[in-house]
Amino acid sequence: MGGEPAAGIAGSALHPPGRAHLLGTDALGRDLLARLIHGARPSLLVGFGATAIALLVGFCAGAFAGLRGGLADLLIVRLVDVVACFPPLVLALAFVAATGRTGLWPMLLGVALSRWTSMARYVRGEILRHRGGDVWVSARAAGAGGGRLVLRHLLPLLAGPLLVMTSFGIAGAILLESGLSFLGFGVDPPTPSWGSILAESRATLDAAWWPVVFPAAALVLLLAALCAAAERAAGSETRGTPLV
Amino acid sequence: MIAFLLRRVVSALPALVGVTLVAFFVLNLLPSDPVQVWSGGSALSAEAAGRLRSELGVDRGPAARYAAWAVALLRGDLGHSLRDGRPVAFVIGDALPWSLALNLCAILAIYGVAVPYGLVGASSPGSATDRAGGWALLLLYAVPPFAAALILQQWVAVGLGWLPLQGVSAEGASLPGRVWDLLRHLALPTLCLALSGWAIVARYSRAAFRSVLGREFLSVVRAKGLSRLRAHLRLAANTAVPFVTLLATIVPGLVGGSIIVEQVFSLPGVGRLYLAAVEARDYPVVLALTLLSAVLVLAGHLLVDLLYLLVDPRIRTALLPERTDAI
Repeated sequence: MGGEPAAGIAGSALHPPGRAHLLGTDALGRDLLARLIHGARPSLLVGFGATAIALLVGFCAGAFAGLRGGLADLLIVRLVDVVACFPPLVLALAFVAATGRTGLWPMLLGVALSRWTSMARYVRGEILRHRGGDVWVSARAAGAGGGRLVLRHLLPLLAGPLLVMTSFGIAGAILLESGLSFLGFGVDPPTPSWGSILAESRATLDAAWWPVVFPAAALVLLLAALCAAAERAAGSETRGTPLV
Repeated sequence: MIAFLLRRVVSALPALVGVTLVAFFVLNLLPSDPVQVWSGGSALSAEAAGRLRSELGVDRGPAARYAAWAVALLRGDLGHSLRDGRPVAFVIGDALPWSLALNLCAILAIYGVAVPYGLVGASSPGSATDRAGGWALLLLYAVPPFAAALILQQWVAVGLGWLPLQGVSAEGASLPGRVWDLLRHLALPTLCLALSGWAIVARYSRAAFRSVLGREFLSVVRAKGLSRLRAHLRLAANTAVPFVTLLATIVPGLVGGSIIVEQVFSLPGVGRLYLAAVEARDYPVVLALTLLSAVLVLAGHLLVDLLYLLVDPRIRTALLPERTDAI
């Protein structure tokens, strides 16, 4: 098996799956399995990294707006509403285009930019809901300040739903990453990503099925697993509620 | 009615201004020199770079540039494409009908399949069909549009040869022939674009139907002799409000999805234009289309509000009291 994802072997282009290459080779003779394994790296990195940034920014913005109220709240809510108007792929593409660079970091930030709004909305709403409730009043009576109130007393209450939003968010971010890579605005070649492997397979669509089917299956399995996990965590009451 | 519409449009104005601000500053306020970025790093002569700078107004501050752009925008002037010098509005106008046709087909396909599915699943909850449907939807939801597009192209277009691989045309001897040709070209793109929307709307519609299926009014109309089909049709009217809301949820995904679908199937729509503009660093077109995508979403919200009036008499009487007096 060819271990290096970028190393092609002359004369072994478009080998069907077999003993020498378990999933076959692509048009340049590179082992598809090795490329798939290495291609998981940008997908997972952007999926988890961008969602972590989005969660952090969204949580802070939402908590600040909910706690502060007044003008700060109004401005943050307006900003969230406006940013949420842009379709995620458009916003991520515009960001990547404006930085004038392709690669992991612009993509990571671009994806995070388009995904923090739903987190902020949710956290702000929950803080307003709990405001003046039992937890809130007792913590205040015990002398807790704003930060402690949110982190120590409200965060545990929100942890479950946030976990669900996070796993749907990771799925959405991976979908965006593979889309950007597919369109040629992701990681730079020859670094493989599932999206870019699929894009390369377009050239040999009529000659080989394996460069299309295997990366597509990898993506579908990962995304379906994330959604199924999120759903299990959400329980039955949110069945049918779109979170992404 | 007119007064309500005006109020609603006026209340959307701050969001519209905000959207122009975000689009402008995402594309402008990055640390790199815009002229260098937008000229693709190619070695421009000092004279050409200077001309581009003054054309983009880079030598002024960002606030002044935004103001100039916004004033031009109010006059309907979107600038000129850097690639061929045509007005941006014309460039977009050429591409827009294709995208609208594609998205309209996708919305019709989504609701046409998802709503009946939800009704069937909700009438027999927990049955084998229902459970299999649930898993199939989860899987569908996880299929990225480009992966679906490639697999369908390989299987249906290349392998079976049933439908054209890509491109779009409306040729034929007669009008029905032309429409048939167009539909054949739009079939695969519509299917790919509809996939994720299907999953969302179908699961939602199943939940919505389930929540009303056991209600008394259904037993009452059935007892009074209404057939099952007609009773269910009446039921569908009762669940119309969440379906309308859902439209606002799926529109951003459709707009983003058409970028990918148009690219894979070589449709000359707005999504493909956007990608080409991003690739060629055609800054005025990118800016205009980024703005357009958000404005379309805003317009979708407005449309949803109007549809509420249409489908829910309670909302109608709450918002338009003068009309109920007249009736």
